[in-house]
Amino acid sequence: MRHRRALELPLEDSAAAPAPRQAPASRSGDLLHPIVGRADAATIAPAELWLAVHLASPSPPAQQNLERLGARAQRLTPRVSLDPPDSLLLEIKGSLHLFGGVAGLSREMAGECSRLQMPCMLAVAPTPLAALALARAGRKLGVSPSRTADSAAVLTITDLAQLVGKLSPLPLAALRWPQDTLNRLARIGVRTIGEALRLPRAGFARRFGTVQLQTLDRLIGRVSDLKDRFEVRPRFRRRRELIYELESHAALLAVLTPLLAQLGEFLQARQCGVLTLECRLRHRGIPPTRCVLRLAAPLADAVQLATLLGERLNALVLPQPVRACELRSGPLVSRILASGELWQPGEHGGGAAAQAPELIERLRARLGPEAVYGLRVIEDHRPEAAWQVREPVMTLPAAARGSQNDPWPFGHRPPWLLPVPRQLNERDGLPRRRGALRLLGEAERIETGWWDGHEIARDYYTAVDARGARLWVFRERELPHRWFLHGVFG
Amino acid sequence: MARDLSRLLEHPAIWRGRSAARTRTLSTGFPALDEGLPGGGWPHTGLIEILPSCFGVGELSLLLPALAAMTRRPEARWCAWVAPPLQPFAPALAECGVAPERILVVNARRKDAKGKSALWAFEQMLRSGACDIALAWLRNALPRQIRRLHLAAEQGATLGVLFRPRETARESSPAALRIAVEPAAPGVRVTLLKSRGGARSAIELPAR
Amino acid sequence: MRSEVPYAELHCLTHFTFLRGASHPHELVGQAVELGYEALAITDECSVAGVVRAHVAAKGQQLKLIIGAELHLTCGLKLVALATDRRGYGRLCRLITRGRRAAAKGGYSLTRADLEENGLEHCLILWLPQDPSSEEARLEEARWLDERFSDKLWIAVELLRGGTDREHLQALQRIGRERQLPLVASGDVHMHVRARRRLQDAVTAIRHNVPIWEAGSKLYPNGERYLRERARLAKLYPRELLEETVAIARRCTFSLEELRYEYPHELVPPGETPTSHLRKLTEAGARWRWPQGVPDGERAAIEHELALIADLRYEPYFLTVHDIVAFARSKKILCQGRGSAANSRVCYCLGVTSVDPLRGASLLFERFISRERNEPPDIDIDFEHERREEVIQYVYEKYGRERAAIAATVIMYRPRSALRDLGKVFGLDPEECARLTKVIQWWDGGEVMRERLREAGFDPDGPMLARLLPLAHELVAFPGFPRHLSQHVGGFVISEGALEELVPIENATMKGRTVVQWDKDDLNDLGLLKVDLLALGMLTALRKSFDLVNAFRGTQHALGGLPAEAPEVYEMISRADTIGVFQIESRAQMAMLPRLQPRCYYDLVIEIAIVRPGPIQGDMVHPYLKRRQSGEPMSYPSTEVGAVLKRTLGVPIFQEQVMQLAIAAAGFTPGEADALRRAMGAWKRSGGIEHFREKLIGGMKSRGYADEFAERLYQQMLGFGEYGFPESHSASFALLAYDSAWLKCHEPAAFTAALLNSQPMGFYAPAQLVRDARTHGAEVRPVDVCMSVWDCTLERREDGHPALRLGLRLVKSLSQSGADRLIEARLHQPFASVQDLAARAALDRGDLEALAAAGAFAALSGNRHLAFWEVAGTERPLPLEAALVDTHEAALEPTPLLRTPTEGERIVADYASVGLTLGRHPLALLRASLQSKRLLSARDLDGVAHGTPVRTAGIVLMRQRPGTASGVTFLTLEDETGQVNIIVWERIGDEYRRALVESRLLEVHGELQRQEGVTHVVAHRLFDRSPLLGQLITRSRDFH
Repeated sequence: MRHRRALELPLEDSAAAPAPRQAPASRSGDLLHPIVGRADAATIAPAELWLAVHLASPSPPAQQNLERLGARAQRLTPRVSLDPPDSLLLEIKGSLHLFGGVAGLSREMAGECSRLQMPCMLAVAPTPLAALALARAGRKLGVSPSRTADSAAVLTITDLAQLVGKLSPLPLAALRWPQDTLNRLARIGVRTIGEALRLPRAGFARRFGTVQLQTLDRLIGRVSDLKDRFEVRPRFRRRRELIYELESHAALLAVLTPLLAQLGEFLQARQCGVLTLECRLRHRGIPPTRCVLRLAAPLADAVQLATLLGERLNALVLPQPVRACELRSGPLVSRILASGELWQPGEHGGGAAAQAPELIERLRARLGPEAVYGLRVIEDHRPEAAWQVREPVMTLPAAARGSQNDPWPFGHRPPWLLPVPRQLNERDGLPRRRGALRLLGEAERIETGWWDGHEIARDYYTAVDARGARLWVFRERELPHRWFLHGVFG
Repeated sequence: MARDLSRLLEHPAIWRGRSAARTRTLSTGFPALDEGLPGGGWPHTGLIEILPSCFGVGELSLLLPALAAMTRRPEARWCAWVAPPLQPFAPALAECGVAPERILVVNARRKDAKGKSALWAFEQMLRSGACDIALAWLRNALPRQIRRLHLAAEQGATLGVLFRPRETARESSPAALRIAVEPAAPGVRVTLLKSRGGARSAIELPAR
Repeated sequence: MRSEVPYAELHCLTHFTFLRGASHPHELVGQAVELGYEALAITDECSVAGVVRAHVAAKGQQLKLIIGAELHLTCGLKLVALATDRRGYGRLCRLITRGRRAAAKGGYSLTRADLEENGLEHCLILWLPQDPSSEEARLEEARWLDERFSDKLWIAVELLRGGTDREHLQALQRIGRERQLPLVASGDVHMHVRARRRLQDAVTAIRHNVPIWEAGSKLYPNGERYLRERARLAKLYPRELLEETVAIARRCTFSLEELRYEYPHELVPPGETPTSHLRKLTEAGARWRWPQGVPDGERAAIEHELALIADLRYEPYFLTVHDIVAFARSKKILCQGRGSAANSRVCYCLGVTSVDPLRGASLLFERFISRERNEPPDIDIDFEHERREEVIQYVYEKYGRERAAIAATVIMYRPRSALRDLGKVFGLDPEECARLTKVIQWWDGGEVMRERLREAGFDPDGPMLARLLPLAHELVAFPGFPRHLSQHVGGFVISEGALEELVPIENATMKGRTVVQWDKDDLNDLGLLKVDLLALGMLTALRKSFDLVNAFRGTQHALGGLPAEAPEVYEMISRADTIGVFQIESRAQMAMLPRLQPRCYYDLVIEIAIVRPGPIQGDMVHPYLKRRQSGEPMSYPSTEVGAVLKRTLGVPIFQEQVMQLAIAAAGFTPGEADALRRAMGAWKRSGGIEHFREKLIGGMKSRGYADEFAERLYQQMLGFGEYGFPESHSASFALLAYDSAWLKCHEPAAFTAALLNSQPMGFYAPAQLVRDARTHGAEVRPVDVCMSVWDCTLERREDGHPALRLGLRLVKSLSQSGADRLIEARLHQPFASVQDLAARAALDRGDLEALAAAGAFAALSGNRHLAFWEVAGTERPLPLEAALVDTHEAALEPTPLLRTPTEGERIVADYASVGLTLGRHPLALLRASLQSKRLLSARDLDGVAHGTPVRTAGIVLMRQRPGTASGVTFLTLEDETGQVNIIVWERIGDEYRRALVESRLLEVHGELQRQEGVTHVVAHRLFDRSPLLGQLITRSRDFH
């Protein structure tokens, strides 16, 4: 079979640095691979053939993308392994005939990579490590990563007898050994795989570790290399075409219910939950309406999901009747792992609290996510900067601040704050609201916040209005000394 | 054994039903007020109404010591604020001892006619059992709605506090306790409009 | 106006409460005067570091200065203690010392027990009540204090508009009534004006190491902690509380003027007075110095000096210095004194200095110890840098830690540290901070350049920098904002009584060191006396040179004892062949030497002082050279001026001459002249020299000098600025310069070995020193485990000449203990193999690899690859087992066929481990490719005419950017044929900044210029060619 696109390696034994002449047998001991350099006429067909895919982007791809690629590669061969962070291995011997040999199969693989816009370097060799090493060293060998299926260049070693010879000039760095090991090898002048293979076995193992020795053995097929098979982690996705166009929310929910039930089973079977769930409602001629549910805790229960989605749909305004609906889950999350984040055991009373995340979801589904929130105290002297909204997740309270035993808990700060201070009318330099305000006590001067463009300089007072409401007002320190209402003591 | 059982029954999450002869209560933090209230404090569950003469006369302060005590318990549930008229100011609440970590704010839609969503949210909070206490500021609530809220609160073993304008005192209410609050220099005057077993009287709580 | 309430601020921090106070002491004093305060107490937190400056500022002002300290006890109790008199001040210092010594540097720890033990007698206590929420805790504090300090205890009331001032006051009044304690107003002042607010916030964030927006309650809610107007205070405080401040102030009568310094007495033997003892020592010294008898003129001068010393009662000081020098001499530690008083006949006789009064330098003794000025004499003593610690420990031991301590150095914010700290405050991550501080690398000026900021990815107009930069300017603006106290390089304070009653002592970073809270200037301002014990690398190198030469040749060379005025030495110096020679080896010095052509000792004295920013900026170099070359006789406007300027051909070169001129020509008193000298040092940053101008020019005119002469002299003084170099120092340095030049000239191998053995020191790295020695014909042999000892040594060649053997000390990351074991084992029996060596010397893997990397196993194993293979194969035996290990087994292991390292690899490895190569220069390997780019070598440039455009490239040896050379950077490039000097003007430097700052191998296009024997290339374009060097490690030495 001629490999049209496959590139025969330009590697000749003579290309390897100073020819290693065999030392006298009595001195040579057991070399790692004593046959290097000996031209072997016979071709030996290997039992396995591995295609390595090295993703050559400057920064390693996300695990997620590697998994996507792995899933796609499974169409070429059932034996796919991931070699994170940036490589993929396919055992292809059995699939070659289906895809037109090495060249055809490689082109398919390169096509998958280019669809995901991941430039890749491909190599084929009888051992997984050799294929990986070749792919990783590809750039050094003058091959640039391919971006399209047709430009794919493949470094290929299909003959076991040539394996050592062709690996020899590759830099040891292609094996991804610890940098310290590589440095120590460099110090004895050993930088390529060939130079390492010429070292005495015992001496090498003693100096650089048996793990490294095993790597070399696996590299040249002296011992076999077992790879974990990759399995795709699924997501849920179902679509349902409707016979009638639907407008009613209730009817929609009814249509979605069986899909949700399927989702529930799907999740139960995998002991997983979802954190996001998207419902797409398709219309005629306009983009679908999307309704995304984001959950505070992973959920797997179909009924609960239906309730939440129902609340959400209720709040939705449909631009047109719905012709089809689709349910898409986000990534699956282990329920056991994620549930701990929200409710620490023993932190709340009774079984009732277990319903709290669900309660919050329900409220958010109807009122909008921003309508439900918790509070956080920020250390800042500026009242408006002294608090923040936070996710309503129950955490243990910090130690109590302030004095709890005050007989009358009018603190210096009011429990109510106006989102924005409201300017007050004034007469004779005194503020008015529903009549003149009576100022109590003395000024509290707050002037700070120069660092973020929200500098304030104010004198705060407690004031009482004609109806007895206690207000928190301030007077600007700067001209024109306006008065503002900023809070209410309730 | 008996002790264990009684301790178990004291658990706030356990609803003991209205028929219980003695309602468990929580001190208000104001001895004078405790005295005037049935059971010597705020009830643990059910709905009460607070009717201030005007927003900001001190009606919230009445609750702060109880909120502090409630939210500081290790097993505390949420302290929910439904449809608050202004922003609850966390530093001030913390200063009074209330744990901000326990506060859950639920803003209902402003334009929502008749406060429907606020009412709905309040009921959800009360019924869920996720809250120790839920405060709500509702202008319009019909007696049947209030009854519903009260039942929800009992079901969720939650104390519901409904703040309504003083004018609504004229309307009848199924709430277990109704309190009017007005300023009385230098503190507030609390009038018990309706209480089961409590006297209808005015209590003056002086400021410091 | 006078009806205003009188007020004294009794609680005020300066910025010597580091990163808390935000104003200089003089600013606080100035503002307090402005506001009509009756008194101001400086009460830094557990410190008196700022009081001297405040004292100086308050001198002559209508303001009483009170000294005290704010103290936070570990239990939470806070108070202010104010000294009423000298004894109270002593108690306070003792307490501060106690607290500071009990904690790590920068901190302190005081307990109630400490307070009880100390008693704080003669101090007044202001209690600062804390934590208003706990009434009981407050009452307990009040009770505790009341029981101990009842009759001198006040409750400090600080009303700072926190919103509860009234409650606060009432609560304290209750406590006051209950315990019968008086109340007093105070202000918790952190800054002199409200405008310092931002800076105060920023330093607070720096102190807590948080971004400003996370500083929260650590910041003050408002800016009330400043010196407030009295009218404002009157509105806030009850009148009686304000009046009480003044009553307290009147009880505090202590002034720093009262501090008396007493010299240690133990140096005078029984039966002698200090005067008689000093005379005895001096006379004994005179007999030693002049064995043939003291020349008449000298005898008279000695008598005069002794009389003056006796008159000012400085004998104990000279005796102290003599004692220290005598100790050093007894331990064979080379030392030499310098400074005005050091170059006296008395010091010459005492052996403090070797400057021979007959050898040319005119001695300036009286001009520096004068009757008029109450200023202590100034002697710095340099010791061998490796052995100075012995001297320091001797001083500690002799006088005890309670009587001897090192002066502090106040570490001020520099642009770099200010930007780094403020960067953190504004939330920049470390990488961004590094980029920001890099912007000012090389540019030490006040303005941070906008262009550079943009280049570094910052928006100079963005809000962040708009807030950050003004603060940075405030931090670095003169006289600088202090960051922390550090120890002075060697200024010792030694006293007769307990030092800690004079000034608090605290721990320094270095273990076993203690520093006082005042710096050199503070000590000077108070007239306290210190001795500077400094470390000088050249003394170490000289001593080692003498040892090597004397051992090799059997000579008796010693400091100052080499053949004087040898012409061949001056010839070498005049050729600028001075790599390694003390003081005259820098680029600028080398450029000057061929022009100045030094021919005698005094020429060296001038040479050392003339290549300084002062004379260069004052434009004195050219006139001096011109007069020297023309040789025409000078005429002076008057004999007085002539007397001052004759020795420098009419051009003022030394700092002393400026002062002498002010005295001789403008009628200054010596005290005024000294004030002038100080003002000159600071005028650029703070101004303040103008009033001297009138006096100077006026004085000269009235003495009949021409306007033009007066004006020129004034301009020259300005140019001198702070960089003027004293003749007294130059004279001492010139001795060392001559001795080192003599050694370089006659004993290059020994001299180079000594320099290598004294690293780090000097301008040049070992690579250049060795290269220079080899070009002077010295043979240099590589590091070898079979031959080398720790230090570089001399080996006798067949022809009897010395060869330099590099020592194991050059081997990077080799432990000294490992090297010692190696040498020890080798004495027993030569090594047979690497295994044998590893086993017998019990070397660990690290040491073995270090030696292999250095190529030191060549004799045992061959090249480095083989050495590393063998080293990697050695199991590390436990020391006890060393003898039992069967090295046999390892020896049986086959030797693999390893590639021989290439020349390039060898050179890289040489540089990486030993820092130098005995092989070819790295550029020799690159020459072919450089030639193809038409780049000329250093030797090629010799044949190029002035004004020719040239291209060259070389390894960057040095970058120098003198602060005064208006933005010029001087570079020295080196290739295999020599060195090339490059001048980069500011504009080009800016344009090619990256290449200029970062290159290791730099390509320069420019124009060759040749002037008076000095050749350099003025750069037009710069290119970074470092990648050509591969991994070659070269380190440039950068000087600012």
